[in-house]
Amino acid sequence: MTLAYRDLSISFGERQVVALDELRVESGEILGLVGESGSGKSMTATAALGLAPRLGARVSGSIALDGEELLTLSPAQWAQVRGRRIAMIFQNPSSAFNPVMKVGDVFARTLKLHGETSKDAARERSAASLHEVLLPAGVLDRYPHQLSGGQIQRVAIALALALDVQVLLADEATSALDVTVQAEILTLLSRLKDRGIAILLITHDLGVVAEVADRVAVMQRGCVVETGETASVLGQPSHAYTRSLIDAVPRLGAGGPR
Amino acid sequence: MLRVEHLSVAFGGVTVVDDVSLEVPAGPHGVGLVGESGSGKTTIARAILRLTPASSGDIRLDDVDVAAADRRTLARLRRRLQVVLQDPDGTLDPRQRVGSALAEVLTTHRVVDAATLDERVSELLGEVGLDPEVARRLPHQLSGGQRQRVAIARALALEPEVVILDEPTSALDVSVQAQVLALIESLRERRRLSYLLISHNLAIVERLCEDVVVLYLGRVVEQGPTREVLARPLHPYTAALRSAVPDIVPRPEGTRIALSGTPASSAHLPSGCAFHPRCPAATDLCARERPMLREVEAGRWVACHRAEEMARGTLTLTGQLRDDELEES
Repeated sequence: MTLAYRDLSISFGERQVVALDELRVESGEILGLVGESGSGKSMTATAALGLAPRLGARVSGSIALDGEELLTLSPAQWAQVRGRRIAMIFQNPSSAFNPVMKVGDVFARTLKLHGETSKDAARERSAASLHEVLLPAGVLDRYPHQLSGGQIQRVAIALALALDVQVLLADEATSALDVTVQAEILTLLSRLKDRGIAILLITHDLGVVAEVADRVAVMQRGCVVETGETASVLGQPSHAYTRSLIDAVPRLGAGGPR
Repeated sequence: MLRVEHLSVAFGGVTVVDDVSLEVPAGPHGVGLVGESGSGKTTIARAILRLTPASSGDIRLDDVDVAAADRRTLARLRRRLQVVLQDPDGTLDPRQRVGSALAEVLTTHRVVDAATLDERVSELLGEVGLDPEVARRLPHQLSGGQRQRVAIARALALEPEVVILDEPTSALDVSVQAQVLALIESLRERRRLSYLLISHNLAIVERLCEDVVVLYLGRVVEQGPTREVLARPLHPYTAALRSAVPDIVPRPEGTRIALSGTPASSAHLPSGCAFHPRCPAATDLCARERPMLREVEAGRWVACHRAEEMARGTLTLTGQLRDDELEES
């Protein structure tokens, strides 16, 4: 399973915000996509869900899922891909959940939408997915506000798992979480990767990339300026921008006030 | 010197800050306040600024009792105690030009006369690395980093003795963050600033603060010189927090102390040590009895039943992820 971008261009009016020559995420790997605000990293992910045009963007080029072109899909065909084969999790997951709907109902509705007709089977599948993200089945009877930020993010991941997604786009998915909770989510993402899911991890945090990404692509003003194995890009950056990003990160053990 | 003693703050019967004491000595000196969401960091800052009433305890700026100050004393105190927040947009009037905002602070507190006002505004902007021309701009015409510099200039305008920096760089891109950190570092020396820095980023606290206070659910779990606390944490929570910070050079496999479960809330405070449900070293005693904050080594204050074992190095912390338990609701 591969999600492959080629010659992707995204523009708003005259302004081009993304100009990607090539970017690939393979099954069983985490690709870290890093860059500062406005570098185009979120828009790159949004385009893989077919949602960029809804924001008023003009998209051209190619985004292919296992060789199948996505940019030419009809709305009906997109519905079969979005959420089902490619899913996205966000920085603030609680805004993606209906506050008056129990978690179990969210699962039931989503699974039904994607063809699961038996209620019992849906519940079983939901519980199994929750188990994979270390949450008890009791979560199904809770409302979103009864869960912590980290728990809701795990529910969002479980929802993607219940649908057996092939590609997970994680857009700053751990940025709003406390570090100890973030560490837990990162461990979970690594496990999903081991199950063969392709993960595009969008983050501004190079430390997060270093922890879990196999490869990294560095974006600046819509372009990928450097890409490669995480350890080599962070260890021996070849692009000046990558180097400046690395140098800017405050690091533990660097010493205190003089 | 800012001195906080036995500060407690409660909202509707829920104690969110419980018996916190700390000192910010004369500058240049930084004290870091770290902890995760719900740990009470910002509530402590708000209590010091008298934006939230303290339930009990003492807050003093030198000889002045902050908690008991009347309106006039409070107005004078505001001059000596300033704050910089994470999001400068919340404190900058979108329709007020930067120069006018800075001038307003100076005239309200009558620190300069009209003749030298413009000059002083230019000086302040220069001090935070901004062009004097910025005075004519509106906030939305500036970048996030520039707006944060303006917020810092405004806090410094009155030459305060203590500044509270509440996550001053958390909303900024990393390259801009680096510039603002360098600015704080240089001001610290030039202005002999003393500050209370609230941050969830341990690396920033290490860089800017001599002392650190680690909070968990409103209580101090560890307190001491930053360098020592981070090099050799004596509380399992500090150790876990430190090990959870993602670094560009990843730590060797298996050296992270995984914390399971979800931080409880002050409204449903666990029995005994509030950290025990997530603690990899918890014993039966920890579930029963609240550990008191005590000086385990010179200058090292820790609230943990097993702090002595941590200090001797006889306690090894690991931790496996396990399933969450749900809070009763």
